[in-house]
Amino acid sequence: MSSDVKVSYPFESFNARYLNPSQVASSFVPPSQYEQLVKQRHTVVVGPRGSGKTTLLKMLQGEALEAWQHPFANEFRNKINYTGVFIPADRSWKAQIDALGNKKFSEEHSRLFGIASFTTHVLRCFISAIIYRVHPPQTEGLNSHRRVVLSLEQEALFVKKLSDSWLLPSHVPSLIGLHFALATRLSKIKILSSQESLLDEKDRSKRLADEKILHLSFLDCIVEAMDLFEDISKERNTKWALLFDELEIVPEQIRDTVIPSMRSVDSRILFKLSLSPFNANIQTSVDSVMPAHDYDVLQLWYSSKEDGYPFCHELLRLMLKAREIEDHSEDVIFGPSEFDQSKKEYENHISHYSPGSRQYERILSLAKKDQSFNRYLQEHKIDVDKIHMIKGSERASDIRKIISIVVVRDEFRKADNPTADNSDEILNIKNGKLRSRKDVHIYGGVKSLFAITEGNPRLFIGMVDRLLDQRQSTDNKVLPHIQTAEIKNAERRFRAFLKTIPCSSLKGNQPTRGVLTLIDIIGEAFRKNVITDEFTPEPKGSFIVDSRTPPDLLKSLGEALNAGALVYVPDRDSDIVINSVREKRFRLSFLLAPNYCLPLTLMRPINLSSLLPSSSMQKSLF
Amino acid sequence: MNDSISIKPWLFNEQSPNKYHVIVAALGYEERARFISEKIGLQINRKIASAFHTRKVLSYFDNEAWFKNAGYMINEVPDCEFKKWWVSELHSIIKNADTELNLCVDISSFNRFRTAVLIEGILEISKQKVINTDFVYAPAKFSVPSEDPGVMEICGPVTDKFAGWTDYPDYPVNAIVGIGYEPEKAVGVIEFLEPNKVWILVPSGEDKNYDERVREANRDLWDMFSPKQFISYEVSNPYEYFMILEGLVFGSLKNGRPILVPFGPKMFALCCLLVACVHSPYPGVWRVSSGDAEVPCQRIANGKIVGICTKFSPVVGSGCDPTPMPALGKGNMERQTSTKTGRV
Repeated sequence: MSSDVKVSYPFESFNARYLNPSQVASSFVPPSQYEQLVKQRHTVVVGPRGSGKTTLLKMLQGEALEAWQHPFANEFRNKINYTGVFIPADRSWKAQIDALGNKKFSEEHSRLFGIASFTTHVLRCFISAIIYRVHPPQTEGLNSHRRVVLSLEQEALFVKKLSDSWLLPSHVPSLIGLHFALATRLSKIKILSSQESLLDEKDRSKRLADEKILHLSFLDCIVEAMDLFEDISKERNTKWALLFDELEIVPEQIRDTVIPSMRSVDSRILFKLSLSPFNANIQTSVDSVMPAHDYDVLQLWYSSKEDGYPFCHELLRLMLKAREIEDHSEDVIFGPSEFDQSKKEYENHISHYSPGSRQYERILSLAKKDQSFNRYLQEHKIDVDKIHMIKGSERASDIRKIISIVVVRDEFRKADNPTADNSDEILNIKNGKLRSRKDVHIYGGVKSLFAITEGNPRLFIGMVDRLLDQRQSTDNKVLPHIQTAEIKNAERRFRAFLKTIPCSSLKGNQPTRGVLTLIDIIGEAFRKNVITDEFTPEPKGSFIVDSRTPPDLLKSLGEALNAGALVYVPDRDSDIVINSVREKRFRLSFLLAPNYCLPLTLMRPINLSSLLPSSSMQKSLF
Repeated sequence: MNDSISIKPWLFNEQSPNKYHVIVAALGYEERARFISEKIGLQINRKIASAFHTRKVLSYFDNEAWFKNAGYMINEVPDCEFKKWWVSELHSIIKNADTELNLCVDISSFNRFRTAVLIEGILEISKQKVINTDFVYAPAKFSVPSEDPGVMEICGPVTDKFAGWTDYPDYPVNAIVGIGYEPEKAVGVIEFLEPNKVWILVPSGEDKNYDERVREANRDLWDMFSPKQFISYEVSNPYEYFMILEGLVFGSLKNGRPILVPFGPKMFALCCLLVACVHSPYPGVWRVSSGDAEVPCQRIANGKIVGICTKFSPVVGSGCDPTPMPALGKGNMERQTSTKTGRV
């Protein structure tokens, strides 16, 4: 969300949805998926909210490519030999389309108006792309991308012919006039629906059948426009990429046209679609197309946190550069993370576990207060005092694996013997094992920030930008308590969003299934597994939606996934776009980890049904 | 721009209850449901109390007894039949009105959905006859908000008619959010809508405790947005905040898609709905609600009555029909800048 202030610092506004192409380009860091996306193939980009789908699609537009300043920009500009037509959609517009006819229309008539509205929108976006192509850039110093020259006469001829074909008036023989005429058509569609809602239903089908503007096919219209453009500009086989953002929002029948078209559409058209991971109604269409042959699927989330680190690292580097603090390393600015020590790091620097080191103190501290951990150490013949002297990569790996669990247990678990703990810090006791502390800073550190933001550019830019605003002027460090506060703020806002996602209403005895309520139940169960239960080096902290999971919960799980509260952990050959969450594995977003005292680690799976309260209790809980 | 609607301040001291043909109030569980009827309703010939069919708790039965004794006609219909009932009621009322129909509608205990439907009905019937409607409201004394129900059942347009429209779907959504003391609801809906620009309207002036509670419940907003995005308004001055809202919507329509989200006082929600009518069909009005899961909470009138006068005229194109272009000028508002609040 941006204020009215003009964006001067490229990372100031972090939601790409309403940034113009050059603003998107100014802060664009190409993730590895961009290389795949630019190919001349149909592509489906899949990711939860904020994962950068919109940014990626917008970076296929000519204006964005022209404005993009990046070492790789020229290479990509050369690869992209098509014109991107960005077609946005959002929740509020969907609500407006759904409301046409004030619920007085049959499903068929509602669909007709929805398709006509969206078709008009697509055509208008197409004309925007043509306007870009035929008008010279307004700013000097841009790297021209796929511009062409049309004389005024050629433009007028194109507009005249296209207006006839698209059933539009051609009062003003210019592309701008055509653009405006399409906006007016949307207004007409609204008027028509309002009028129809007041008329008798009896002859509605006949009346609507006579309204030609309700029956245009967007693909036919675009092919006609492409043909005309080639005729007039003398270009041949020009390719156009239709960039449908948030395809799940567009009317079902448009979706059902777009997805199968990837198999048989005019070869000059490419489809680049963005989708949320869970789509209950899309899979049928998707199934009609063979993924490996007809289109590529790009996954925009990282089920393993380390996979997102290179992207976050590069994004952070550019953010630091934009603020002219390049000479400080990210580790210095944000400090090290308690949860991340690579295997290599561990093997090379075993002294991290020497007496006095943070890790050593953690292990020692937990061993003093957690009898089950002590038993584990004894059973595995690990002497805490000699832990830094352990030899052999296997044993070293054992220690590395448990350190994340040790950190959270030490931080959040009450001592089995209270005298061993600082009782002043015990504020709240739950299950007799949990303590809550005033100042918990274990989630700070640069790698933890990478993990908590899930490689989600919107969240990362928003959070890190605010943190950098609060860095110390003397040494550019962002203090742990500031990082903790910002993480808590982001988590609170995220929870507020999750709470706002509407769920089905109460019907008889059927309980409502709020997304946040469900997430809280799962998170609390994980907290118990990880913190209060007996120590185990590999506690269960992810889940599989098993066959005993009540069907009422499936939709909420899908919504939690699309919202980014859950992260899908697909098997190697699993579908990326799913229409059912059954038998799939998920973990909680690391952004929610502090709320449930969880480590920033992908933990072992457990059946979801075993985490849920008994069915009789569910009704009162949800 | 809908020129068939004009708005002006409602001045308590200038009102004569005799001018109203009909008074309409809600029969619900809040004690304040009958406050305005007690003060001015008795002198009006035709009196209607629209009863909710659920949550008959707290003061519901006391209110019911009072409305019955006071000669109110009580109609109990569920939400899904409310529009049908209201339009048919208006039809029967205008048959007896000579030229213009004068209504007094007490929105204090109506929910946002029913308030929207009341306006929809008036818009529909005003195609036949001028309808002057004074919407009145009894602000409540501060009381601790009800327990957070946790689960939202509704997050979307308050009714289909108020979903809004755009001729420019590529324009950004601009959110105009009135805040109340529901914790984090405003933050949640802002995250849900993902607007480009946001204005936060902050109620004040009725009770210090309320003001503090509103701020506490929305503390994240002050971190998220700059001070210039916050606009304070006095609950007792509806015409003023109607004008503020109208200005924001008018400005927003130039290159955006305004969505109004009225948390907080019901009179603020009413003004949002009126602004949406004035600029119909473009602005949307949304609600976020737990529906019947919301725990009923007692509301007692603080002694004031505030209101706003509306005139719906049978001009061609009135109602929620669209105009071909976004609004090009300010509406038919009477430019008075001050209102008086009546304490009774």
